[in-house]
Amino acid sequence: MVGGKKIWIVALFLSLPLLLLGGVLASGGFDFPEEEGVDIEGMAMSAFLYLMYPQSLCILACLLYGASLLAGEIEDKTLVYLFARRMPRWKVLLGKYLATTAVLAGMTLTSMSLAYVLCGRPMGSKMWLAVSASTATACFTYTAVFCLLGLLVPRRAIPVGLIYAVAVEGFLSVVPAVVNELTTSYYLRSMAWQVAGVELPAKISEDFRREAQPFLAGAGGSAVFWVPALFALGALGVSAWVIHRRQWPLTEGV
Amino acid sequence: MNALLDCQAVTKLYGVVIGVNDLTLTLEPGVHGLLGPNGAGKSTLIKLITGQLLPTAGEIRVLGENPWNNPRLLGRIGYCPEHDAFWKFLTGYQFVHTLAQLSGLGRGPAREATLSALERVGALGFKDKPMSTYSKGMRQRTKLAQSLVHDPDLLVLDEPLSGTDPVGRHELMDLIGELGAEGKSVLVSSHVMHEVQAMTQRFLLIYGGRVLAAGDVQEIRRLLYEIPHRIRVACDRPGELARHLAGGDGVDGVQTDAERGELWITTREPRQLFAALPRLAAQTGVALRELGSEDESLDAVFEYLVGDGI
Repeated sequence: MVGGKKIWIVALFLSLPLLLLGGVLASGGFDFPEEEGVDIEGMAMSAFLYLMYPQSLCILACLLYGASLLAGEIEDKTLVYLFARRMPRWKVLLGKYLATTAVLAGMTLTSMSLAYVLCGRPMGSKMWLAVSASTATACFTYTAVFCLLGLLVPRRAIPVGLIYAVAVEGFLSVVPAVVNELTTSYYLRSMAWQVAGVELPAKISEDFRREAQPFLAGAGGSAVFWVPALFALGALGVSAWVIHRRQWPLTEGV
Repeated sequence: MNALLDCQAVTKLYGVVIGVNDLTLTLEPGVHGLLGPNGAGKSTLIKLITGQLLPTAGEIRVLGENPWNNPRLLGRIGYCPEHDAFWKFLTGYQFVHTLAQLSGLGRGPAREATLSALERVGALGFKDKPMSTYSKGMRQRTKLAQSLVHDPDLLVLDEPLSGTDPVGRHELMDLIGELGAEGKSVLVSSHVMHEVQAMTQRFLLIYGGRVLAAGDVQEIRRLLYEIPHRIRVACDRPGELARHLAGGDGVDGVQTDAERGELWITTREPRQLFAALPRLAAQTGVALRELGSEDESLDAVFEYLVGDGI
């Protein structure tokens, strides 16, 4: 059931970048320094879109919906209507997950696309495609991860989810060696970088490739797609196992 | 035919709290009332039957199958929970239609089944209003409709009459009676005995997680033969009749209420007494106006069974 107050909260979240961009444009627009051969404005706007959508708003929206995907039904005591049916529990989970992610992905992609236009279509359609791919993947992966979190710590899912977002997807995702490879953010950045096919100016390109890319966006090839998919499937699989095994306080009373 | 419910030494513990305690019983198909005060274990038994909980010990079978994680069996059960939960942003129609689809009905059949179920419970008139605007009685009807929508073999109704107005209560009681007459099995819980008595004569009395008795009022009376009945006799001279009855065979006590012209006789052999009273009245010239036993009511039986424990 994708509805209720949460959808308005998410809509409010997603309108913030549009309001911000609209405000800046209304007050005279952006004023970036110009350098020959370097699209500073395009890079800055692309970074803004990436940081705003897959890196921030998607996580918040997915946390809000994912953490309560089933935990919310438990709290509202509506889960009993879903589980006392001919439908196996894992199908209920999958149905809710797909419906939720479809709505979230639709909303975030719409907002992101509008923001992309307001930003002046930075760096061409490839950048739009790159941020779109990362945004959609973020919705599917984070919703699954937060759904599992909601099942494991139903009463503290939001604070624990926020800690996860900051500590794991924020901090650990830029820690080199194997650590960052265990985070979704690392693959989302790598995906955006790969799909956008950004050409850096020669003078910074070599430094970036050598020092920053390995821990910021070092994943390559198809791994940027299948590893987040694996994270999502893993989280969903464990969630399905949890709901299959667990006896829920579906109704109150003895 | 499989038993409706077969419990073998079923115990359900919530930590150290006992929900159901070593419960063994078999119920045949039909309409059964599940009676007991709050906290008696009715809800736990219902959760076990509907596969929400797993017994801590023992085995439970519903329609011959284990209900735990058994979607096929759950498709044969219609469950109306006691708690007042629903998705507030849905209309009654959307609520029932969604759950009909989750029960495996396609969009078209689900639509037909939804309208039919809503009509049956008298909820068609408000089906397009958001459920958040419903009264308790309207919500009860809609909840009942979702339990009927997939045409289950067994209906498990947890306090279905709670919050309904007197007219609605009567209609729902009639509906449950009709469902039973159509061959559906119904397990309906309540702590209001006359409601259950109006729907069925077969019931389970549950208290402290144990089944105190199962059967109809007469069977329970037979089981509890040693428990004395109280018989009320309305007559013109209760004192005179009391003198002749006191100390007689099978009479445990006599109490008169001269003001109301009543006599209360406590006996362990009510049939013999009912047979003997007209003869005695003829012999003594006492005019009998009315004979009755309060013990035929479920309330009386339940009070006997649980004593002061309620």
